[in-house]
Amino acid sequence: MGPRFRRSTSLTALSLLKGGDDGRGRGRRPKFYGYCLMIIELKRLKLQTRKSEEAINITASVEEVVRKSGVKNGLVNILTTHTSSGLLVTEGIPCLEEDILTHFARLFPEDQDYHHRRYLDYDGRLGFNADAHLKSVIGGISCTFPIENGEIVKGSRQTIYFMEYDGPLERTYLVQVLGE
Amino acid sequence: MIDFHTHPALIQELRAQYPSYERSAREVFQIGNTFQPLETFFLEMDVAGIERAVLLPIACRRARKGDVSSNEQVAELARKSRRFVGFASVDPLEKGAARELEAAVTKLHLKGLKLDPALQDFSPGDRKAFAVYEAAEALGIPLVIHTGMSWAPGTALERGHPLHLENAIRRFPKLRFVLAHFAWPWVWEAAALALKYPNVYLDTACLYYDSPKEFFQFVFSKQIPTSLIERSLRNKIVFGSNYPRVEIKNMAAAVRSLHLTEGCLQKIFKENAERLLGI
Repeated sequence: MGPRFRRSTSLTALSLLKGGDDGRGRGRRPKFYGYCLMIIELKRLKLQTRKSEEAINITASVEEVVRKSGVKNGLVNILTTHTSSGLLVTEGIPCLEEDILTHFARLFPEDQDYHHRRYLDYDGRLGFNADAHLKSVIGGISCTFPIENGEIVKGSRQTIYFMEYDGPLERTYLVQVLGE
Repeated sequence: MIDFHTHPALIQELRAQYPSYERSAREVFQIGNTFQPLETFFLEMDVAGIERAVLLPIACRRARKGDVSSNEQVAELARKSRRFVGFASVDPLEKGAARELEAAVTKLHLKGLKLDPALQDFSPGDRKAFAVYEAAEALGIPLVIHTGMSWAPGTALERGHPLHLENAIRRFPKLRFVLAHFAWPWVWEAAALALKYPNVYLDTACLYYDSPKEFFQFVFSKQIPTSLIERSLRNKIVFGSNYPRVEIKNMAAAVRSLHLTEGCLQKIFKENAERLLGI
C-alpha cells in the first residue's frame, strides 16, 4: 500500500514580510519592495511497511506535497517521526538499497551486547531493538531540498527513501514545505 | 504454524469503533505502543512465518474497571479472517460466568477460554472458579491461563504460581490447561506439572529481561535443560509470542535459536496447537 494523507491536518501560515527590513526595526531605513506571501505547510503522511527492514522510495509522494502546496521558491524538509526508522537520500537502485541494509546490519548486528535490552515501564514491554535505533542514528532521520519554480531541486539520481529498521509497522513521516 | 498467545489490544479499527478500547489498552493492559491497523498484525504474522493466531481477551472489568478486549470484539476479528482463532474470557467470580462462556462458544463461535488470575484478581485454586473450569471441560475447549509473573501494575506475583492450579488440574482431567508464559520464574514447577499431568500444556510466551534469544537461551538451557523439551515435553509445548508486548518475529526466532530438532520445532509451532484446537 502506498502512502496516504492524514485527514486535513496541514497548517498553512501566511506571513507578510517587508523586503529590506532587518526585522528589528533598527539600522538603516528599510526599503519597500512590496509584500510576499510566505507559505508554511506541514503534511503527516502514513506508510505501511511490510518487512522487518526495507528501503521505500517516497520521492513521488514528497514531490506531490510540494506541487500541491503551491510554493514556487523555498525549501522542503522531510522527517520521520520514529526512532527505529530513518530517511536517506541515495541513488534509487535495488542493489544500493540492499547494500545499505546489509552493511547497516554489519555495523549493528542484532546479537550484540546492547544495554537496550530491558523492561520499559512506560511502554509495558521489553525494549530490545537497539540495532534499529542505532541504524536510525547513523543513517539520519531527515533531509532537506530547495524548491525552485515549484519543483524540488535535486540531482537526477537522488532518491528519497523511508528506511524501515524494525517493521512491519504503520509509520508516519512529515513533509514540511516553506516558501513563497 | 500457529501463535497460541496474542492479544488484540492495539488495533486501530477497534479503537475507532469502541470508545473504552484505548483506555483499557493504556490503563488496564498498560501498553504504550502505537495503535496499528489490522494489516500490521497480518504482516507481523507473515514476517514470522505464522499462519494463524489465537486471540486472547481478558474479562477484568470487576477487578480493573475494563476488559482488555471483549468476547464480541474477538469474535468480530475472527469473523473477518480465518487466520484468527478467537478465545473467550469470563470472570470466574461473576454470577453466570459459566453460562456466559457457553454462549461465547455456541453463539460467538469462540474456540477456547482465557483466564488471568492476576489481572482478574482471583485465586486459580479457589473453588468459586471451578464452575467455569467445569463448563470449559464440558464444552471441550482448551483453557489458556496466565501463570508466572505479570507485568501489569497492581497485580500480585503470587497469583501466578502454577502449583495453585494443581487441584483444578486433578479435578478436571479432561480440561486441557495451557500454562501461559511457561510460568516463569517457576519453570521447573510448570515443567513438572506438564510432565505429570496429561492435560497440562505450556506456552513459550515468556520474556522478562534481555532479548528473546538471550532469555530463551538461559531459561531453556540453564534453568531447565533443552533436552527436557526435546525428549519429554515435545508434545506439551505450543508457540506463543504475547504480541503486541513482543513482536511475533522475535519470539519465533528465539524458539528457533534453541538447539531443538526440526521434528520438535514442528510440534511446538504447529502440531500441538492443532491438536489443542481440533483443527
